[in-house]
Amino acid sequence: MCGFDGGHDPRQASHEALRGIREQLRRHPMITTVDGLPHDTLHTELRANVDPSSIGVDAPRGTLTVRWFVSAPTEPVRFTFHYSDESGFDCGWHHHEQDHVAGLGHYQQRTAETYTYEEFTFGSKEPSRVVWEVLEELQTVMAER
Amino acid sequence: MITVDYRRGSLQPAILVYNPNNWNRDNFIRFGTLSLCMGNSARGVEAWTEHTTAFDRVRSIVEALDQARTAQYIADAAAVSETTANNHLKRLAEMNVIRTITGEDATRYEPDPLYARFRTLRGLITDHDHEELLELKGDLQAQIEDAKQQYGVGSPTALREQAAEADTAAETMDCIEAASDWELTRYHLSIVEDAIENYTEYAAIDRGTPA
Repeated sequence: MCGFDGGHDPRQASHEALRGIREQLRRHPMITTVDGLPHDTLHTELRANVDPSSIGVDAPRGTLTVRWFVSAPTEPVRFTFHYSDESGFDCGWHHHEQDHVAGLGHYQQRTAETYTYEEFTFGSKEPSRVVWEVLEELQTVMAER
Repeated sequence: MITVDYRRGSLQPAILVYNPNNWNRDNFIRFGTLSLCMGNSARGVEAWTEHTTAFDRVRSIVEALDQARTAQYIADAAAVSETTANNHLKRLAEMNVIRTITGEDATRYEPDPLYARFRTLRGLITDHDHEELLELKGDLQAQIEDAKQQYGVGSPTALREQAAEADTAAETMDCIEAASDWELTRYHLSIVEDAIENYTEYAAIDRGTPA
């Protein structure tokens, strides 16, 4: 039925990770709505509407886009939490291959036509934990702007 | 070593305590109301525990595991004691949400794949009638055809091989993302086909009028 023998199906793991992330996003006071794309139930991407004023932060409303990829057990989990707001501010906490910093974890922020990158170490790579850590980071970034 | 500092962006002074032999941003310790001195990972856990119960956290961790893990691992990830994790894992196993793998060194837990699949199936039957499921099947098939045409390969496996040969990290990641989406869409398609094939029976059960 699932086409994978002798262990957990990475496709199902990706689906369940996104389902869990959606549940956690809905619990966070800064998130107003979460939609699944391209289909609300059978999604490969989540888009959460962020309202900083709901936690007393004076910043424009924005959108957090989440992707999560589980591959073979020998490969690392890859994911992106990317934020952009109505003013054009654009940043993200990602965990995947790139050519800019050592390791997979990084923070990137758009400046003019390009991004600047810095290493970022996630406290955990379990989906639920990443949600709450990234949203704390996002609040810090918003407060510093 | 103790340092008094003002964290960037904070409104209050923060007391930073760290072990110089194991320094990282999350080793800051909270004192009283000066929680701004904690790293964002620790503050994220604090916010998580404020908005969820211990059971919610254990369930959310174990349902999304991509490999079987011990109770100790799950307890650490869920910010609960190992005793609490064990109690909740036992309940979740009894409910068939997760399954238990008994090993020589330790018992491990992982999501029950059948439970997870039927949960998704149940959502589809609840939210869609037969005609809508057929439309959804068509949409998913179209997504797979688009991926075939865009990348010029016949399967996600071939796309992953393409990723291994890519010249840049950006190209590698693009192929991996597309292959993962393709595989996930195949998984979704299999569930939709299951829902369509058994729609009459499942919908009757859902209505409480089984044949």
